[in-house]
Amino acid sequence: MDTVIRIAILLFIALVGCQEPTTESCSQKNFRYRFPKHFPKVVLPEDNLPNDCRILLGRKLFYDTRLSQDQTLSCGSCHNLNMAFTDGQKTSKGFHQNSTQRNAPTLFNLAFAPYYLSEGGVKTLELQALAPLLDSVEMKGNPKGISSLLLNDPIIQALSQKAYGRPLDYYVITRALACFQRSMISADTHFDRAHYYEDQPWDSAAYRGWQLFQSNKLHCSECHQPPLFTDYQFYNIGLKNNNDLGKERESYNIQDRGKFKTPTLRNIELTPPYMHDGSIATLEEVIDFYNQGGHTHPENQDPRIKPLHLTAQEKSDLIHFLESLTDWNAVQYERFLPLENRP
Amino acid sequence: MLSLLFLLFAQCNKCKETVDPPEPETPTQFVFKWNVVFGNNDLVQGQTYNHIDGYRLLLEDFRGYVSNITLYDENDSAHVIQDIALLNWFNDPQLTITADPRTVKRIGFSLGIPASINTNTDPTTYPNSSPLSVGGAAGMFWTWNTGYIFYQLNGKTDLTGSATAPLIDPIAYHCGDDTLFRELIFDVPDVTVFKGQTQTWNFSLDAQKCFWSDADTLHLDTDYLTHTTGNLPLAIRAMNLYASSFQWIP
Repeated sequence: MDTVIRIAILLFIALVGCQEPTTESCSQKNFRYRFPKHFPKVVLPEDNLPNDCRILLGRKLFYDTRLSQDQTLSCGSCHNLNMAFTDGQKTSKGFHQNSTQRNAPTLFNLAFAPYYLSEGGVKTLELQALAPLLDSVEMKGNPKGISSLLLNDPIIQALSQKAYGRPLDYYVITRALACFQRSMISADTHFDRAHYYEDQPWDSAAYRGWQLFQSNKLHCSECHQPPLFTDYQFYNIGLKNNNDLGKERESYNIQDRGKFKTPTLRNIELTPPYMHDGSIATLEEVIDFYNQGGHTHPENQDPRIKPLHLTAQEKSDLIHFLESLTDWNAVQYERFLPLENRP
Repeated sequence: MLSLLFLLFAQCNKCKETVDPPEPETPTQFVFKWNVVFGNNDLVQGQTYNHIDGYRLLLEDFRGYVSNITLYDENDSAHVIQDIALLNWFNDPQLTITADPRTVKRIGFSLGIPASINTNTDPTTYPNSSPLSVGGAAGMFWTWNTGYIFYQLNGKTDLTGSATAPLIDPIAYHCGDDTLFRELIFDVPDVTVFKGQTQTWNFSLDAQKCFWSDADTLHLDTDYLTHTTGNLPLAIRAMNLYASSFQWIP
């Protein structure tokens, strides 16, 4: 009998432990993100240290279409978990199906970024949220006031008070979204297991690709630096000029024309099409693009972008390596999905 | 015992009689008032005006931040009496500011937001009543690149030059960058403003001069769009014309 009771208690504890927090049960105690040890350290903003309530509110708001002017778009509309928080579109569809200017980036591992957007003009993850929320082509939220549907939602308001001690406003929205997004960590890939954790043998083709990736022949890892596979710097890689100024938009320096922040390669397999303009459809075509030395941007092309003379085997190995950067667990975590009909 | 209670109540009534609230003092106020025109005409939102190049011009949105509203006393010491305001130039722009009485020999204000506030700012941290908040700024904030739009003029024109064609070609001057901050100072007759008095200074803002002056002309077929980024030279020209369109009215 004792054994049965013990098992029942253990089961109860396990079930309660696994339950996700609700508005009533969420904790206001500081929460520790599970940042991988081989990732850089993160300095969290003092005014937005995470806790269960803040992350829960951010998760609710992330999928809440009431943040957009016509109540049809949420952050999750263009950032789908199963595509590593991208949308598969060349450029995303915003307000009234208008095309935005750029391809939706992955949201995984944003906690480690020193600045945001392709030209790096936004300094915090909190402020970044204002860009899609208020942009007239994206969600077209009203800067003068948040939707009354949202303001009159008792659950959202209760959670806002619990999380930040104030009614819902843009301060709360931007901070809650940032707390939720910082929880989007992805570091459980074949590459991590084989290279960092060493608890899984390398796939031989992926390993050959990894060697090639960091070789002096290709120089890929100079910009796509592990472990995050980005250096957060800005380069013109020789894409065709589509009138997007890139970094020049922020710096006013013509030498920055067509330069964009190095994107991470983690989960790259799940995030086609590629490049800031979504102009390249597949990973194979991306390899071909670099192999031919870019498309010859008329200005500022980085001198390292030049023909690579890759063999078919080398291309295949590179693809295998890039596919080893996919975190199949992270893209299935329930804690990143919408909370449907929950208190 | 009853006597004591009587005394106590009587004392309290006496207290009430002696603590009547003081008469509120009439505040000392300084009024900055702008008369906004387009050449010789009043400026009216949605009305069509003529550009010097012959194009018709419809003005739809005309707003700007003014900051560091300052009084200079007889020793030329500066006294900032209001930090920031966002003015809709179509909407009888006026600032009424309560401040200490003083002698004034010069007045000034700046166009834009001081760099100390404009750099690394977070509009979500300001109360809704602030012109720097998300709601108060009402779109006068770059969401993709921290900082405020100092001056915004939106409108439409018709580049075919027809007298009747619809005005569909957009014009937009969105100027905002630390290098575009402009300080304006006006010498005014010395005036001593005493406690409780109101002193008003009138200014003119001629929107026509935002397009052309003796120094420069924005030609609508080429100089029609700047969000500062992407066309900083035009933003500088537009900001300089805007700054030159303010005058103190004696």
